[in-house]
Amino acid sequence: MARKKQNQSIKNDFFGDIQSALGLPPDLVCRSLFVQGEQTVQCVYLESMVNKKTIDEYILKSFTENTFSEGEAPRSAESGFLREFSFSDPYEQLREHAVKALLAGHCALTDFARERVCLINVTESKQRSIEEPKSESTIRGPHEGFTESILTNVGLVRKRIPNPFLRFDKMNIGNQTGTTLLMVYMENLAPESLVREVRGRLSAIRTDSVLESAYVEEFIQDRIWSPFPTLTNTERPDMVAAQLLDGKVAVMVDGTPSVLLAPMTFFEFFSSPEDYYQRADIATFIRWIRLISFFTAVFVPSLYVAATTFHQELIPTQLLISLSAQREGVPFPAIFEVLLMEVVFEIIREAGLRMPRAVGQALSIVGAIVLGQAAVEAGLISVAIVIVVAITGITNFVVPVYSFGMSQRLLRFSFVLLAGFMGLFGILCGALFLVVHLVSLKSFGVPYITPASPSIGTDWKDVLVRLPRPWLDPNGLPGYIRNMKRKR
Amino acid sequence: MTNRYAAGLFILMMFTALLTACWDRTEMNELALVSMVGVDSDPESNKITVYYQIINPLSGTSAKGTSGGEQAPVYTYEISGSSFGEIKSTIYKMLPRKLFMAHCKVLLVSQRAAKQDMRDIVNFIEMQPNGRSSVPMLIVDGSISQVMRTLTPLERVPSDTIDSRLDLLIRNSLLVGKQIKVSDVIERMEKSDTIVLPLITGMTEAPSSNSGERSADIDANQNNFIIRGGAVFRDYRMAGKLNDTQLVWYHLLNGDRGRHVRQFQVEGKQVSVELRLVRIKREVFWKSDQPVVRIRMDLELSTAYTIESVPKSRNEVERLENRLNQIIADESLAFYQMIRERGWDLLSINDLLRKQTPNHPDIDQAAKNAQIEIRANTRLLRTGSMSQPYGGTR
Repeated sequence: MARKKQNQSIKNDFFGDIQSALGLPPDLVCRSLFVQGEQTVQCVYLESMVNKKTIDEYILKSFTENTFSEGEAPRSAESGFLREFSFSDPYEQLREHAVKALLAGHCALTDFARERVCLINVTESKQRSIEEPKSESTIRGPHEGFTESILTNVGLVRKRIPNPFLRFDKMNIGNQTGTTLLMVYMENLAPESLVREVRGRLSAIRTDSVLESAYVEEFIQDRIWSPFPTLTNTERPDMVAAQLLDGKVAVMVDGTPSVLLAPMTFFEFFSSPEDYYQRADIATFIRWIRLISFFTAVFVPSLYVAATTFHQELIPTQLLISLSAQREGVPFPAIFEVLLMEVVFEIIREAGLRMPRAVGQALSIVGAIVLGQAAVEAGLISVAIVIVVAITGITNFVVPVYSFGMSQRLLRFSFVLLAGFMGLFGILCGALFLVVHLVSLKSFGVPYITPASPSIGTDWKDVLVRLPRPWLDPNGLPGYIRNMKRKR
Repeated sequence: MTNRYAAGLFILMMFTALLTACWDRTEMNELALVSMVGVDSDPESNKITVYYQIINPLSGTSAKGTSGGEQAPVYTYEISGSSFGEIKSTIYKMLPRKLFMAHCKVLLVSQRAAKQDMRDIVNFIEMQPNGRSSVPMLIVDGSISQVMRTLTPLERVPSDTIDSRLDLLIRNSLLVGKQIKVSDVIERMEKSDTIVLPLITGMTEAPSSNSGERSADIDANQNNFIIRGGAVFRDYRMAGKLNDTQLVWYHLLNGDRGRHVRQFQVEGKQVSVELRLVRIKREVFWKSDQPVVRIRMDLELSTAYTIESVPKSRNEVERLENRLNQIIADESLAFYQMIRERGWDLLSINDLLRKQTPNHPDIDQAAKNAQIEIRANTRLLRTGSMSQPYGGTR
């Protein structure tokens, strides 16, 4: 009798309770099915989250063809995921399950006749198609990029490593968002200590929300006060696959195409997946170009300031005459000129990112030329400064990882200030400080400037030069990964 | 930990306050780039005159893309005073920018100043805070003010023309040696060596100071100066001169390896031969308490530039070589006799003897009495491409 009464209350209140739990959402739909004039089944779902075709064709249709009491449990062709709760379960719990399931894109079938609630997965994830990542485009090599759907991303990695040792450890992080995180690694290749470390750091995250992998990165990175990233992020499945095969750990976050990779060392930021799609000599050449570009981007403005304001004797006479001619009539000291132009360049760059794409490029080019030329003509700056800023601006984009490019920008400004105050001595102090800092950095237990220090001879085969594949160890992991495995 | 780190950083930053920092900063347009320095001193009035030739950066193409037009590429500032110290500060009566000596390329000294004492001049150059003693030093034969006011063709800045001419002469002739820098002068004078510095002579009486006029003139010899001859120095004083012929033997006997073309009279015919020293060996042995210095020179010859007469057979080549051996040995010996008469130890015989017999009681006397044997061994390596110069039906 009591149960009958409870059923009655469920019949009357269930939809209402859900409505109030979700705050009368506009996309909440409740469809009732009547068998012989009596309401037997209620189908509740959030219109925005589900595939209505599936509901219509596979769930509701089955009720019109068979009676629910006779047929099997409703089938969902695509989802294959069904959970049942009996009305005898505590009502609060029942409702909580139903609300969570609705939010995750399920539909809730309340079967009053058989006294149960079925939660059927009919999610239709809203996702874009697989495209080439914009910030990491390549000439040769795959043009696929990760999407915002974590399952698609898993598929993209699996496609490249169809190996039973590929592991995906699932976690949910964020009190409010409960975002799905996947820790990906090769069980046979990744050192256990590394996997344990990453898992430990991930499970220690206490936050309300995770909307992008950067949220996670900030929690698990080794040092906050450092311009250098100790993790990298990529949108390229081939890069993730390559790093996983090197024994590293990837962290995928639902809702973002950026996948984190750890550990990362300083020199690895100079290599790109494309290096392995080119012949060894070309790859080596490009790697050198990247190294030179890094030093150019960081040091050229500061060296210019130091040489022109403190150490004029270092400049060849002819160049000095020409530089000095350019500076005739310029009212500001060189450091001010450099800072002014660098800041203007950063502003143009930042504005270029936000501007509507249609006008962005044209406007930034025109802006740069007009600003540079006009400033020279107006006698605000000298021509050489425009060249210096242009060189540093271009070289800054050569490095394959965007976050590493950002650290170059920070370093450049600090070196310019040091050069402006103390000349080459200042640059030297800064460089020494930088070396000390780099040596003290670690990425998940791996010294940041491996294989330079600690020196690992075999790893040099793929640092400053990329030796041809036959000369590389066919199943070689990076030396530091091997060391971590050995320590176990 | 963080506190300690911060404290360390703070202390480091405090230390930087002790360093010379931005207050020794100088912008480039606050500098007067000195390209050449000339020094003159009048023995009668004891008055020193220093010429600073300052580069005008705006001559030629300037920052704004407009040409400097008729501006002179350099300006010569002349300042006189009773001492170098005084000149250092009085120059700013005229000069609006800070003297910057680091790019100075040439030091010129007037002949009359060189004949007095060069110690003060050398010290003056050495004492410049951003000066360099690696600049060549030349002696001006004639008026220094004229040379300092001459604009040269081709090279905009006169010091560049001297610098590159010296460079080319060292390689392509035996007229200028390598050891002519201020630092060499100091080093060798301190060792009481005798040295030779190049002489520079102005070619016109009234040089034009107008660069426009200068560039309109096709004759490069008109307003120019020439490097010709050498000044012999002993104990910081100019003791005499060598002409170009003597300079060849001086440099050859001192082991300079520049190529030099010279005309010789061989068996009644003129032959132009290019000489290049391959090796030189100097030995000392004693013959009845008299030192005998034997100098053996191995020379490479080339008759590539010969148009007068080209050896055509092995015999002719050998004859030419033998004859040249003889001529070179004779002329070198004659040169040696000449410098010995004047008391110049230009071949550093003194030094050679001192090295061999450090305990000799009177090296100077022994060096004066030293007998010299010079032997030349020449080898004709290149005969040139023309076996028979064009001569028509003559």
